[in-house]
Amino acid sequence: MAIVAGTQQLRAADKPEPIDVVVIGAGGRGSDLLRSLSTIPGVNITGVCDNYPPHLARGAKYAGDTAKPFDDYRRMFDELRPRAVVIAVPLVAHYAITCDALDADCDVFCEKTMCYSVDEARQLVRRVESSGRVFQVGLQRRANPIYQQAAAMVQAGMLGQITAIKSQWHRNNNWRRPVPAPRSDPAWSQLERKLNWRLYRESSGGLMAELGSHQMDVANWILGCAPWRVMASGGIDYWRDGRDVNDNVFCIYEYAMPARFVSANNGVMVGDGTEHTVRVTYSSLCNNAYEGASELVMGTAGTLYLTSNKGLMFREKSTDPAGRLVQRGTGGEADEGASVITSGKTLKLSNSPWAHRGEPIEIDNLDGDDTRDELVSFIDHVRRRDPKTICDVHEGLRDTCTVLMANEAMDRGTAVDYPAV
Amino acid sequence: MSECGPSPVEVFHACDAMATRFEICLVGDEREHLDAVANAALEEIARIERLLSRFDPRSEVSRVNRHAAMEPVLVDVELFEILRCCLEWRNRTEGFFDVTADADSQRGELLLDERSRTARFTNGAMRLDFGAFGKGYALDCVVELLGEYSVGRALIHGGTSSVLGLGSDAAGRPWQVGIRAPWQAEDARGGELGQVVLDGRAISTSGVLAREASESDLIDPHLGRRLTGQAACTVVARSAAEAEVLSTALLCMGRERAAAYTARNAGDEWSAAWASIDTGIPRLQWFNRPI
Repeated sequence: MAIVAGTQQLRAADKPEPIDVVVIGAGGRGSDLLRSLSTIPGVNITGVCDNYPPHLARGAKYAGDTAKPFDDYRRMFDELRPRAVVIAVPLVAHYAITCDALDADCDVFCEKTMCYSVDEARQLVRRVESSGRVFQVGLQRRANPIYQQAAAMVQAGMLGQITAIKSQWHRNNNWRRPVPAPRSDPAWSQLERKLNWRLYRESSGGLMAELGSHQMDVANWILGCAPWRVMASGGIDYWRDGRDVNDNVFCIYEYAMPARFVSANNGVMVGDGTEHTVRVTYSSLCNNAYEGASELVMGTAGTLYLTSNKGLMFREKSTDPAGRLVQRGTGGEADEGASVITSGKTLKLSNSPWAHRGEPIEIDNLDGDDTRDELVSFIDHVRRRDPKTICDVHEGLRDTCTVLMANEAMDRGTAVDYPAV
Repeated sequence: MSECGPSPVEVFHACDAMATRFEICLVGDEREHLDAVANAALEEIARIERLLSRFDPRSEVSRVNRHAAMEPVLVDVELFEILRCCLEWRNRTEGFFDVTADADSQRGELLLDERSRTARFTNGAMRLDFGAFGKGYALDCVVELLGEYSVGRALIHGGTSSVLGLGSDAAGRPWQVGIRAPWQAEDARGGELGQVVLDGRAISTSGVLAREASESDLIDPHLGRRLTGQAACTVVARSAAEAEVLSTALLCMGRERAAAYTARNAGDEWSAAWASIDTGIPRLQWFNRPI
């Protein structure tokens, strides 16, 4: 199965209405976004802002000659009056900067996770709705053709009834950005907090916010609802280097699925008509990378193995017509219509531990990069003044709540319910 | 290196990228810092693969390859700079280094428009292939990153065909690289044709045929044909991209032309050596004095 993404290569002759865009935050992720924006026809990157000079210099290089560098985003808003703002700053600053951008009458693309606290996320929903501006959260799997296909397959009932999802993002490194000063340098501590903001609770939601947010968004999206409860356990088990966010997290989420799980697209009914629970596990490690970042969606009729550049669907063996028992025919011959044929040779099965998987149906991403595609989609919504983005503020709120309830469960050591919103 | 200071630590990191293995050895005072810098270096290599790989449909180069024959493609600042640099190298190497070289199609032109930052192909079958540039470019980007984090002692390589050394190893010895011909077995002891010391230098070796390969992955851009026979060319230069470009171009030129080209152009900037098997015994012949 091959899928071609929605990316439209605009013809130079079509001359799309130019949109002035500024980028706030030119660290690793901000640079990715800048590079992608710089390749989208009709995007004028007019400004780049960062309060860390080396990142600002790098961002300005990627943004091209048209962009003016700033170290203060409010001054940049005043001077450039941009149409749209792309925000890639530490999590703790998402809310305030997004609000300032909305107040400056800008459309906003904000990196995930949308907000540092549930309260901020609730307020942001109101701010975005009353502003009428276009708003998108940077959960780029929403723009990835593999995940779009997976969601459609689940919703069309191809996997039968979903009972569980296992998702993980396992890596084997210390998740540290290098600091350009030795620990003995008096400037180290400030630089460390700035560059390694992901490792400190004062600015970060840890692995759940930085990695889990993507994959829990996939679960929420595929299942069409938010979890009602989570149990979780986490700790700083390996990288005891002064960080205060966990480096090892395991969560079990419970989703209460309604009696009728009906596809929005074609009305196919999936499930047996009774309420049921879907359990979703999520884990993230920093000292073992086996199977990396992936999700396994398990249903009564099949399994989907998903990564951002490859999807595989395995049918369940019980529904596989490869058995040797046959329904008896009605012919008169003695050997016709036998239920099974015996030959003295035992049917040999492979002893490979992976043999049960069988041959998968493959889903390939033949075209496009999901970071660029999410920005193409955002710019398109800005141009059409269409607030129904591929990941709007309500999805952002749901994702924020899903992420933060797990962090709370880890800290409190108890199950935590989805917050009232 | 201070004699009474703490003894230096070295860290080793590796990743798979560009269909081969990259390895990094960093030497310094603080393990945690070196590990973090090495991680950043590996991320940088992965980023460059995502930019330049023609096998990854998500890369910038794949986007250009899909669309540039139909219309000018807006590319990012970095890729535009790389394309401009590669065109310049094409001119400087008399056309023997060409990222659009193809064995299966007519030679076309890569057209760059500075003002709109777009790239275009004149021929529908054209494709960009950075197979003889990307590894060297990645090593050069890593060197820049090491400089930003004050790491001055390192040995890095991409698939062993491109190697770059800075400073000295943990024992204070210079980084030494042995040169072996591509047709020699990996475990052949004493089979080295020569050695080079790398401090602020990179070495790249290109061979016509990898061991046990029946067809070369290198294409003579003028003839539009895969190289045949067996030979290897080694270049030592100040940047890994330059070494890789030149070793590829010289190998495509053939020995005599390569020797003449080196005599005319190398000066003190780079040096080249040729390994061949035509006398029965593999030997390495330097065209000029090693830099």
